[in-house]
Amino acid sequence: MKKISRRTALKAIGSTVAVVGTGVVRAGRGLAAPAINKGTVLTVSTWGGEVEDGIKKHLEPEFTRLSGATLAYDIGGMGARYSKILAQRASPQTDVFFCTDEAVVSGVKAGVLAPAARKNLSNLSDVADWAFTLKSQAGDDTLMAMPYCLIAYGIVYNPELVKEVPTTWSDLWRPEYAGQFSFAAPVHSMMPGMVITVAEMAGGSEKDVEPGFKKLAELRPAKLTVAPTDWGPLMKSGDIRLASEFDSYFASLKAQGYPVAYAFPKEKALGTIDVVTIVKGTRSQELSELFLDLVASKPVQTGFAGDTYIGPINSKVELSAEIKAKCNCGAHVDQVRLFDPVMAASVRPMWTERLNTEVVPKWGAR
Amino acid sequence: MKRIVAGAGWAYLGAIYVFIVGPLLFVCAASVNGAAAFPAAFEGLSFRWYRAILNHPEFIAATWTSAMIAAVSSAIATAAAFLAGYAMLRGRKKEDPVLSTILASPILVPQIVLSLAILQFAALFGMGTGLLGLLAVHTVHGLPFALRLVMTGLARFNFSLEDASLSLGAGQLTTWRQVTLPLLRPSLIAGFTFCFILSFVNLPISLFLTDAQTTTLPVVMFAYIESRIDPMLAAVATIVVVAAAAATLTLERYLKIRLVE
Amino acid sequence: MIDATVADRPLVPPLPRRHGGLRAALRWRTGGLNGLLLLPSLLLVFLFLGLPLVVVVISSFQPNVLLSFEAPGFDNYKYLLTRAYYFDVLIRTIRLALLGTIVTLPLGYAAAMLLLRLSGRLANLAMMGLTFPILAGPLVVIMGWMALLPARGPIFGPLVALGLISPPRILGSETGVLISLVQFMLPFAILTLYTSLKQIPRELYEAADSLGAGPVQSFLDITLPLSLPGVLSSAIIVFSLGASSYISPHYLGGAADLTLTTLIAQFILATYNSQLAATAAVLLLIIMVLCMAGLVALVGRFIRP
Repeated sequence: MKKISRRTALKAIGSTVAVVGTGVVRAGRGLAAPAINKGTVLTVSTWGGEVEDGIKKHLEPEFTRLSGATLAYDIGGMGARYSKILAQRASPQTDVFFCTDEAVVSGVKAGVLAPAARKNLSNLSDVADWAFTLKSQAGDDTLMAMPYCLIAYGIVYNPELVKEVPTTWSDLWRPEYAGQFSFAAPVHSMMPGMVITVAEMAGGSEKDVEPGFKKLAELRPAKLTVAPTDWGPLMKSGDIRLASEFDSYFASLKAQGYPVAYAFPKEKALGTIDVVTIVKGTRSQELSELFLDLVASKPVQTGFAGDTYIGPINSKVELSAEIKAKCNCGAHVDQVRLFDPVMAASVRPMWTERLNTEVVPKWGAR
Repeated sequence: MKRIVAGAGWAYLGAIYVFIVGPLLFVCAASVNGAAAFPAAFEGLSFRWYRAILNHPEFIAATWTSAMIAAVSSAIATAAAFLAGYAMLRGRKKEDPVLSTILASPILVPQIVLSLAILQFAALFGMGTGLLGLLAVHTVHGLPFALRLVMTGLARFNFSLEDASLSLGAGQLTTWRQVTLPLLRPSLIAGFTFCFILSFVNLPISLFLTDAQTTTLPVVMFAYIESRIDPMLAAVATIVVVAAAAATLTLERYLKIRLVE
Repeated sequence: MIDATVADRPLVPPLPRRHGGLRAALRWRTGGLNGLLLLPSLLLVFLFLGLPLVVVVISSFQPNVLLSFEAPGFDNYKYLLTRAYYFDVLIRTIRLALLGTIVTLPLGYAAAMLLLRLSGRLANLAMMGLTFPILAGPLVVIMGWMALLPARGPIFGPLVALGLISPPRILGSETGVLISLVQFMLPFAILTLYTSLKQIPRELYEAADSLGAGPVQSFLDITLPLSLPGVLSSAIIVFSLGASSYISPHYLGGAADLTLTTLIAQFILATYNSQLAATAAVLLLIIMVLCMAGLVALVGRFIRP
């Protein structure tokens, strides 16, 4: 069944343009010339909502100005987008992929991601050191993924219904909150970190997580969530009083008028470095690297922090006091705990299964 | 007494309608609410959420993709259905139960399983997701529905008209073009329209098959809901409902074709 | 809509007891033109349904991230069927679809009988109203339910505030899923039953009336038996809608109330285990076919030829 689909045709055109473009770049000033890339479309796989809007507002104009190419978006949850990249292995449709650092580990293992050349990433030196959680994946001259932001998974609560500000993850186990909070579903990206944190609270450790599973089974969440929209309406109606959630989502819900406040647990919030990485078989390595570089640039990072309240990873970014207050982790890096993405990727399949079969049945959550 | 029974009956029917249409009306009403969130108390009439769609070209692009996929798949499904229905009913009183069970089988397969099956099947040929897979799954999903609607027309069609045409020297194709197809036009259009709508609003059959270039409206909405629920989705939904209702009304009014009998 | 036609010709025609099977059917049909005309649709079903399903079945016998065994093996099936968690998913899928069917059919039957009394414009409008939720697509309707169903939302909120009821747990429970399923199924059921009821000749009622039969008796003797084929069709449609529904359990059921469809999506979209997804898909398919066969056998027995 050999048919020339629109895809293959597009790809062929795309790579031709890219090859021509590369030649010009080498000869020119290091940036792809606008006229050459005109008509090229780089496909960005990313989260919808704030992140997508942020890219459109702060990154796309500069990207197009510098390269002449435009951006297309594949929007969705990370799982859905990653499974597409796996499915499209033979004929990739995506150029750059926004994901968690952990997904990069899986992606490298699956052979669907391509490294970027450090020499083409001029903003790399401005990126804060703590943001490089993927050290083992990097080479001397290459980088597997460009850090994009720090987000922190902590406790969101309704200040009208919760008088005592939560201070610890243990608060979720308090009897008065039983059935009145939402909690991460087993497939949530932060679950490995959560299991470890809870294990340590219960006297275990990263190596000994049994106490963690045991303690998690005693939890009584009202609803399991993967996205803020799973619990938003319930918080608004007063059905739940607390929720575990990322600070950036908290901020966008607050901006929409939801009755919410955010608290850092004393065990630290669970941090994750979201990154952007290049998909193997990209239409243009050059343009993808330009995209990665722009993501880390000071103006883009400043704009993102201001609009989407994510923690900037560019150490040169200066934020106003007002934005700092909203943008939790940017100003509170020390209150966030980062986990080794290689570890998280290796334990995830087994732990998800254990959470599903051993823990969730005890929850009776809805 | 009789009056009370009748009154209770109409009250029951009313309640059923509120139940069926209520959530939809609620969403449509929210689309013209100026508030920033969904749901929210009414803050005055506003079309800001309709304007907001313009900032989301992916919604507009996906609408065209959905329409294109729906049109092509429905056309293929309706044409195939016509041929099959014709073959089964020409010269017979009853269709063959085994054949029609086979042709109806896509309806017995859960939609999400259809999507998964095409995904894994396409992967065998090194094909990823995208247009071809979407067209395949939408066509096969629409086939049973098209077949049913076309068969209703065929069952009422007087095949002796064809014999008359043939005996007057017209060829088979001419007969089809001049006799059969014009007479079957209502059920063909009904079949096409129904397939089109089913395809246009369907999420599960496309769920695993879209990519950045080719994504359908329900999948875009699904992805959007994951990050936020705002009245913009309500606005998109309202447009879809109004367009679909307008299409059915037009069919009824000007082509005298009833989807609902 | 579909159901208008489904009533007089069931979407899935019940197989007669004695039939030569597929080979006889094809032998009977494949003479000349007819065979050729059937080719496109048979090819569509074969290429885009038959073969892909074979691929799914094959993949369900393969090892994966979670289970290593020598392929082909039944280990995936054993795994899903012996774990309480997954077995619950299976039972929940059947329970929701069955409950939905059982609730929807009588509600829809009564509504269809009442709708028969409407005429002209009003009847047209009423029929169109039923199609709106279908036209809009379930995704939009679910948004409405997500806003309406919280315990302190617009429906239950006032009652809770007045102290008339304690806050119900509906959103994120099986009840919530069931409510939205019934709402989703009802238009399909009503449309099917309406057409079926409408085809009962009026003269029969007049005859019954002149013989002195009361409304109850004429319902039992005429309406019910003659509408049974329609009941069967709508039961089949409603059940299959219920068992294969994805959006309702995904949004209203919460992660602890997985059904086979949401489980399949989770295997594909979250844990990247296409083999277990395939296994769950095959199980769902088997359940659907078994339950439909059961339905046809059960109701079919009462249908007079």
